[in-house]
Amino acid sequence: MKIKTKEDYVKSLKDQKVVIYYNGELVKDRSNHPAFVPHINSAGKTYELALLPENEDLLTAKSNITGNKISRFTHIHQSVDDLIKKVQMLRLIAHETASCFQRCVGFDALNALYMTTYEIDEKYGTKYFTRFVEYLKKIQEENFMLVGGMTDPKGDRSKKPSQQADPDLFTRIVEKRKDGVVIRGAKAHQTGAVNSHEIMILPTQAMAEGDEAYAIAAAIPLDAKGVTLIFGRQTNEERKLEGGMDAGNCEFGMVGGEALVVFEDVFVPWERVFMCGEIDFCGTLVERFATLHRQNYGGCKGGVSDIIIGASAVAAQYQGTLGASHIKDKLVEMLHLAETVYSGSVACSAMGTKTKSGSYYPDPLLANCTKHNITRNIYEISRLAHDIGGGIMATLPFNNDLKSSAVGKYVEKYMKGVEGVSTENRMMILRLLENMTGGTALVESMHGAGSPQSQRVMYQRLGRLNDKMKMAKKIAKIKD
Amino acid sequence: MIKERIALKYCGGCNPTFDRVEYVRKIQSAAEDRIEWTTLDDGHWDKVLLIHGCDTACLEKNFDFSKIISIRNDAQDPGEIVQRLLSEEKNED
Repeated sequence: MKIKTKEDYVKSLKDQKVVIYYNGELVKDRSNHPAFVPHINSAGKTYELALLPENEDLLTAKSNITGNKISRFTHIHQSVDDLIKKVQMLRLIAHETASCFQRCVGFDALNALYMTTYEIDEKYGTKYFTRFVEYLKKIQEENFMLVGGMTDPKGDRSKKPSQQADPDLFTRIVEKRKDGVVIRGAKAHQTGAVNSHEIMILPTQAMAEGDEAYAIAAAIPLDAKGVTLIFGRQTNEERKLEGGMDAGNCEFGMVGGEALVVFEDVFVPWERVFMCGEIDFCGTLVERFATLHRQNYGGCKGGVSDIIIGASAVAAQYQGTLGASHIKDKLVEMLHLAETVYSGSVACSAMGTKTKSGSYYPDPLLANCTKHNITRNIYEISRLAHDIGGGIMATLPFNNDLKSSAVGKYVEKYMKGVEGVSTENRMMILRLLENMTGGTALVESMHGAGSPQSQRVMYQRLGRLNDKMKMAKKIAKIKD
Repeated sequence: MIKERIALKYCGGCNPTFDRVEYVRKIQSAAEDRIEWTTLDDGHWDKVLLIHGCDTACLEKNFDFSKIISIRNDAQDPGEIVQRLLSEEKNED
């Protein structure tokens, strides 16, 4: 069934039976589990907005393969304009959800594989690109949601995959058959996994000789035999089960809803294998996926930051401090920080280049700077939100206290801010701020799309330090 | 009465400075039954009304300006937009 509407999407999740564990229990129906519904709603927005005339220019694209109108989340970038539209789209959706909508990871995996399989074939005469394009056609036509399976558990970080005490700590091929391969291992922190249809596994890092079994890229349906998902517990996880005000953003949740995806001897037919042992292309594939993913963050986090800024201003208004000069100054600083991250995403897109495959790729150095700024600016935006919102954000009574016949009158009386604004409204905006600026939401800004150290490594490689030294010597009139 | 066929096309709306849908509603209301609204995909239209959310006006570079009226804000009275759509004027803001 081609998925067009959010309803189609939810039904497709219900129909595909995936083994998911939540808090030690097998989930019977993932499409209506209260811990997953906010993440489903958030991803569902990508389907809803694509159908609106006022948003379709960003949410849809023309397939370079079939010529059909498709979801941009399944599109291969054909121009710099496409790269910029991706960023604009992410900011737009973030304004609707104030949370992660999860589909960019699979989107980036598709684009990274498109350009890299082309080059693997060019070098080795393999048929990965043709095979991948056939797979992509199906994804575009069905409008499936893909998880981008990048991060392996990695075990002892000082050792190569093949040197680990437990060889399964990096996802690997345990058997090659005439009709396909058998995979064992796991992918960690998989955003949107519990409400996706397939996972696209990629190598987690550059590989060296001896690691050939770990050089695997393949698409696996999440209902394949041997695939098990274990949902990650978030900060204030149980508030999702209650719903309502205390959840902060009860409709769309917090970040993407991550899971550990385990592969216990999962068979993958050859038509779904897009890299198998080509260790010399692992680094390229990883770098491309990382760059495409880091490109995003000023779009989605810029959009999420817009909501944090708005919520901070509303909180200040509700307690009578919006006119204070120091509050205005803090809001201005937040605006500056948000537009800074957005401009990074636009810049790396504007400086994008055409790859051998014909698809477009953002500037990797600028994309890494963009994500690196996220690891700092979102923390600072959140710090300022806490400063403006006040300690009440961390000490508010329960919503049930507000509604209590015994103590509701006290909560109503003593949690009130300015005249004309209900206590309930004040509590609602503070809960939203709490949800968006603490715990899991912050850690995601730090480590999503790679930890800051991985960006620093890229500066060392791409920053052209030697050229800068030469330029400095020239200006100083130094002659070696 | 022969109605003018106007294709309505929105930009994607990444960060619009006004409510584009509401503004279009006002334009359509001001047009009453003098305009038949359609889409670009339809292919049969007399003019195109481009609705941009900001001055970047992303869509303008993709269109032939001879039959385009391009909107970048909600400052103009909707009735005036209708007059422009119904007139012989064929240029952008």
